[in-house]
Order: sequence, then structure tokens, then C-alpha cells
Amino acid sequence: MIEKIYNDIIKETCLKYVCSCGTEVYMLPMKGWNTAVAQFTARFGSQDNAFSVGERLVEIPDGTAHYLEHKLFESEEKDAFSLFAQTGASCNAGTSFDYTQYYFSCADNFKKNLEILLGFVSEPYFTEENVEKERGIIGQEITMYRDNPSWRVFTNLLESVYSKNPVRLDIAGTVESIAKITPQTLYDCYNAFYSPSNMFLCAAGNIDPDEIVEVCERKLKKARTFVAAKTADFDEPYEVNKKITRLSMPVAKPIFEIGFKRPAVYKEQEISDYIYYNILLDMIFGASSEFYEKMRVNGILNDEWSVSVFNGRGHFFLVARGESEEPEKILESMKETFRHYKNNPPQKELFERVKKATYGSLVKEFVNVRSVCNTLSEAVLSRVSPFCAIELTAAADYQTLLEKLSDIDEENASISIIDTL
Amino acid sequence: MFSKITDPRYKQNRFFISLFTDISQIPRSDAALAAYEFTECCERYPEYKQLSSALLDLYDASLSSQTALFGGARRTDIWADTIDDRYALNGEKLERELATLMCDCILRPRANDGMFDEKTVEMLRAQLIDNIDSVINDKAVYAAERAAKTAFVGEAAELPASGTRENAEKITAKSAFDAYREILRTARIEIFAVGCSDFSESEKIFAEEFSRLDRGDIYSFNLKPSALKDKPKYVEDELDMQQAILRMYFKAPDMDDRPANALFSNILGGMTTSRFFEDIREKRSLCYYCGCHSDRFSKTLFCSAGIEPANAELTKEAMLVELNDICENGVSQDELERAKLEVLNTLTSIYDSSFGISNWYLSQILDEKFISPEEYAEQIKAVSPERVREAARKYALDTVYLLKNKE
Repeated sequence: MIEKIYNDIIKETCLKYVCSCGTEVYMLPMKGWNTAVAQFTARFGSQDNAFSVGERLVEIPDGTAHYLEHKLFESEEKDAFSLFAQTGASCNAGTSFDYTQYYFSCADNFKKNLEILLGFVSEPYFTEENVEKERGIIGQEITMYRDNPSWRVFTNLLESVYSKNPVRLDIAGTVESIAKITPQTLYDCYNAFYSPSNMFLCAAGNIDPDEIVEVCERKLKKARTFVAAKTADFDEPYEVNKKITRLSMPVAKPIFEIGFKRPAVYKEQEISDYIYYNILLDMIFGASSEFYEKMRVNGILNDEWSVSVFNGRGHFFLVARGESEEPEKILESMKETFRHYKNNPPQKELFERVKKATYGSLVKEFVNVRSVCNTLSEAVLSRVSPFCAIELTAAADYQTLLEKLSDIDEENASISIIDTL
Repeated sequence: MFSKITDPRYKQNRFFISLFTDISQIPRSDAALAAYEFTECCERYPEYKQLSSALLDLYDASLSSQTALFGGARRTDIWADTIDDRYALNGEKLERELATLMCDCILRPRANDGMFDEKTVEMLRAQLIDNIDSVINDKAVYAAERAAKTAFVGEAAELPASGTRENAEKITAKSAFDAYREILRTARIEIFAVGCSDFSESEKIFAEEFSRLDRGDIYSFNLKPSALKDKPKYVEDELDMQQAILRMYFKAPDMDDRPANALFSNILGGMTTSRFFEDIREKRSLCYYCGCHSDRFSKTLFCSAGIEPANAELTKEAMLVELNDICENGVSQDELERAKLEVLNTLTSIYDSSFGISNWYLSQILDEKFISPEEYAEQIKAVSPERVREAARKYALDTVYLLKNKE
């Protein structure tokens, strides 16, 4: 049965269907649009480097989820790129800390493309030869990221903030860790995490829901035996791992990221905290804040400044990033600003203004097919309703914001700096 | 010129204003700083903080500006968008407010006595210098900028649109304001509105506001393909990095078959079933990325790959082999069909994005007449394998650039 989920604010209806195999399907048809996007997601990411099957603990090399993503594009006969090339669709995949996603966008042949997508993700084909061949390609990808200071400053921050949660490790692993990956490693992970009930499909745009349901039921039959795997608990301590991490690279000016660690939250609480802390960060550190104005005018910060929330399974922190000759001074100023506003709460008028802007930015997520599909996938990944963010934003109140502000531990922070050579 | 596309599917309204000017007449760095002023402040909102607050009030409206090279000209873009009025919670007229705000920012800057506010210019100059210097933070962009000095020597594309650090250091409040005035006086101005509104009110606002400008010597395009060198140049740079970046430039000054050229570059290195992807990445595992794209104005084919430094020569040879193979043996009907499908898919997608549709038309500003995505699709469908081979044969190697780690 297809369930309808309607949102009165943006006047959109999302359809939810649960396949007989257990895979959840979320669809948002957009009348009159030319294109369609489908995203097939496994709840398996780089964080899952250890899991238990019954009493047995399985530890896998760092970077396995990403390696698996690369290898699923190949089947015994043709790779997925060749199959999509026959329909004109563009396809790709990505691995994050807590999920791996395979997707395509197309202007035609949606049904055929969906069959290809579900087909190649459901039919793993790993051999010694094809796994070995990928090592050089992924090795180059790892090297490319190691030359990227924006990526390094971020991964170093994760390593500083977290001491146990594997979010602290690079998604692609290292050249050394991927050397240990074998076809069996990939099959073990596939059988543990690519079971239908651990995956979900989101589609938006020019789509026919009945057609999607038919294809899913046909292609997602349980063709293999999956094992019941349990991901490891991270047992992450409250405190940050390290206060500071530094690295020197060829950059024009030192770049930095600052993280204020918070306990992990889940489901609606995660989305609610995400919204409140984003509003709060915009109010006191955003483009219209006194903090940023002072820092810009004094030449301490430039326009490469942004604040946001970084969250996912088992991790949640407030992050600020920028370029400056005095990164540590910025950290201290941010701490001071938090303390100031705890004693002198920001005006309610400012809260209403930023809340309205947040609402505007969420409406903008529904302006094109890809962003609609992304919004659905993000909500499902957090196990909330597709319109949860916009509903929680509309209901956000000033008093709760002040409580969130007082709950910040500004001393529980890390800074990651990339210095000039 | 005001153009608009009204499409009820969109939930927002977006304005693009493009100012095309002569790159050699107005100093690059001064013009770049003038573009920063558009999104920094204006008479009505003299501080950045105030302008940012105004954008928040318009439901997180965006306001951006950029200076780029375009067919040998300078293109200064200012664009803004916000949600449609029907989603405003208190009945605000967001589209009208946004059009007015853009006019404020472009036409009524914070200036006095023929110069911008000095403190603001001092801050923006530092910002511009940071941005010019920070190209080193992105190795692929750095390699492209360094390679351009050789590939396009003596041409507009030799230097970035924002100029050099040395130019930027000389900017004064007066020189930047002079550049600003000259841009508005001489630019070919294109205003493009895309969204669900009919834009009748905004059209009147822009028409009235821009009609007050003092205009003269309006820029007209003088498009020339990039000159092909007598013999290829080979350049190497070193940087403290792990991966090497190879860039190869091929030029075809007499290229006149746009659809065949587009399909050729797709087949060679523009898609995930391209020759480069399948042979150099997938079969030989030489790189993670290896691709190419063509620019129809400079008539240049840009190829690039991120590689193990020791594999530079091997990758260069592999790229040349693939190009030569198409020149000698042509392309298969199958790979041509795949390339066509990919291009046709992209063309159909254009209408689903307000950025896509406005860029489609703005990118044709240099052409004799505008064509729709559907018309171009028909041209693509008509391309034969022979035409693709002919397009490939027009290219000759011009520059090979390697950025590699310090020994």
C-alpha cells in the first residue's frame, strides 16, 4: 500500500511504499518536470569498520565501504556506466561516513534506468582481478584528496573532535589500509549491509509511482542470503579528543576549522537540534552578525567564513571554517561570544528574522528535482518524515533556542589548522 | 536587454545581470573589485551587515557577483534569487523587493566625490588579494592558471579575470570607482529573469533604473579563436604535493562544426564511457580522473588528469593515442549514439534548472542567432561518425603542462 505524506507549507505530497523485501521507497512526483532522479542508499559508510555477526566481531580495513562502492559498478558482463550510457542517463555514487549512495538522473527511460540501478547494486561481482585493478584508481583518489587542504583541514578536525567514533578516519582509507581489502572483505560487507531492509530508495521528478513499485518488487527480491549484522557502538566520550591539530601545506593563508562537540542525538531530536543550532550560529556568527562584522573590518577574517552543523550517526558538532592569520584568536573570540550571549541573550527579533530565512532556504530545497531527492534521502537516513525539517522550522520558538544556547559547552572545542609552508 | 522565462513549476524567482566589457580597456583587478562592491554595500545599506540583514528579511535571498572571461571579453555577473511571493509568510512582495535591492547595489554604490568608500576598498582589496593568492589551495585550478600563461600567451585568457596580486595591490578607491563607472557606461547589459512570476513589475523597475545610466561606446564582441603555436610547448612546474597534474591543450582555430566538436570531446573524455575513462582509468588504472572538454569560443580542447608523477609520460602518450585513433579510425556508431544520448539528456534537463536555462541563452550572446535546446538537439542528432572524425582532425597539440611534486 502506498502511504501519502502531505505538507501544507510547500503543498507537496511524498509517497511512501515498503516493498515486500523490506526496502522503503519514497517518491515525490513533480508534474511537468522533464527529468527524474533516483537515489538508492545503503546504511553503510566509512564509520562501519567493525560489526558483529552473532557473537563474532568482524573488523574490516578502513576505506572498505568506499571500495565496495567502486566495485559495485562492475558486473560479470558490463559495468554500470556502460549500461547507463545506453539510456543516456548520468549516474554516479558516493560514500559518506554513515551511508553509501548510488544514483542516476535522466530525462528519458526512467524505468529502464531504475532497473539498471537496482540490478547492479543487487548483483555484486568481485574477483581477485577486478578488485586488484581498482586499487590503483582508488590510490590516486586518496592521493588527490591528500593534496586538498580543504579536505585535510576537515578530516583533521574530525580526528581532533572524536577519539573513538570512526568518523575520525578518512572515508577512502589510506593506501596502506586498502591494500588489505580482498574480494571476501567486500562480500562480507555486502552480505552484512546491503540487505533490502538496510537500504532505501528515493525518487523525485518525472516519475510514475506505480511503475517504481512494480520495478522494486521485481528487482529487489531476496536473491541471496544476508547475515544479521550489528554495527559497533562507538562509545564516544563527551570530551574532544585533542584541542588542536596543525599541518603545513602549500596554502596562501592559514585555513582552519573549529568544532564545538555535542553529544549525538537521533531522529527528530537530531533534526530539531540541527535546525536550532544552525539558526543560532547564523544569528551570532553569520554574515549579518556583529562578530563577523568586527572580524572582517579588523582584517582577521575574509569572505571564506562559514558556520554550520555537522551531524550524522553518532556525531554532532557545530563547525566554523575560514582563512586567517590568527585562527586561535578566532576560537577564543567564538568562546567569548557564546559566553556573552548566554548572559545577554540575542534579541527575539533577530531570531524571527533568521528563522524566516531558514524557512526560505528550506523552501528552496524544493525548487529542482535533484535537491528534492536529496532532501528525501537525508530525511530517510535520519529516520524522520520527509518534511520534518520544514515543519520543525515553522514551529521553532525563541525560548527553546535560548535553552540550546545555554546547553553549549564552548570549552569542549577543537581547532584544526593548515599553516602555510 | 531584458529577457524572461516564466515557468509555474519553479518555486523561486531569480535575476541574472551580465555586464560584458572589454578586458583590455578596464584594469582587471579594479573591475574585479568593483564586482565585489555590488554585493558588499550600497547607499541604502552602507554596511555589509545591513545588506546581509536585508537579504535575510527576503527569506534568505542570495546575492552574488563574479568576474570571468567570456570569449575574450570580461563578463561581470550579478545574480540573486529568493522564494516566490506565494510562499512568503506575511504577504511580502519579495520579487519586487529583490529587483529593487539589486538596482540599489548596482546603481547606487556607497561612494562620494568620485570614489568608493576608502575603508571598504581597503578591506575588499585585501579580500581580492587573498582570493588571487588562494588559487594555490586548489591544485587543479592552480595548474590550469599556470598552464594558461603558456597556452594563451598574449591573449585575454593568459591571465585570470581578477588580474594579478601586483595589479590588485595598486587599487585605490578612485581607480576602482573609475572601473565601476566605465563598466556601467560601456557594458553590453543583459538582464535575465527566470521563475514562476510574469516579472512585469520587475521589468519596469529594471527598465526605469537602467535607463538613467550615462551610456556610450557600448562594447561589441570581437571573437577570435586562440592562436595555435607553430610547435607545441612543454612546461613543468613544481609544488610540494603528492599527485601530479597533467594538462594538455589542443587547438582547432578553424573549427566550424559545433555539434560534431561537442560529441567528439564527449567521446574522447567527456563521459564515463569515454576513451579516456575506459582506457586510461579503467583498463590501465593510471588515474582517478582523466577527462576533457572543449571551449567553442577559443576553439580549444582542454585535457587533464591527476596522476602518479612517474606515470606522466605514459598518460600523455595514452591521451595522444586516443586522440590519434579517432583522427585515423574514427568513432564507432555505438559510441557516437552513447555520446548523443548523453548530450540530449543534458539538453532536456536544461529546462529543469533556472541556472541552466539562463546560462543556455547567455552563452549564445556571441552567436549570430539564438537557438533553443530543441533546435540544438536536432543538430546533434544529425551528426555522423565522419563529422566527428573531421572535428578531431582539426585539432593540433599546442601546450603540454605538468605540475608535479618537488624532487
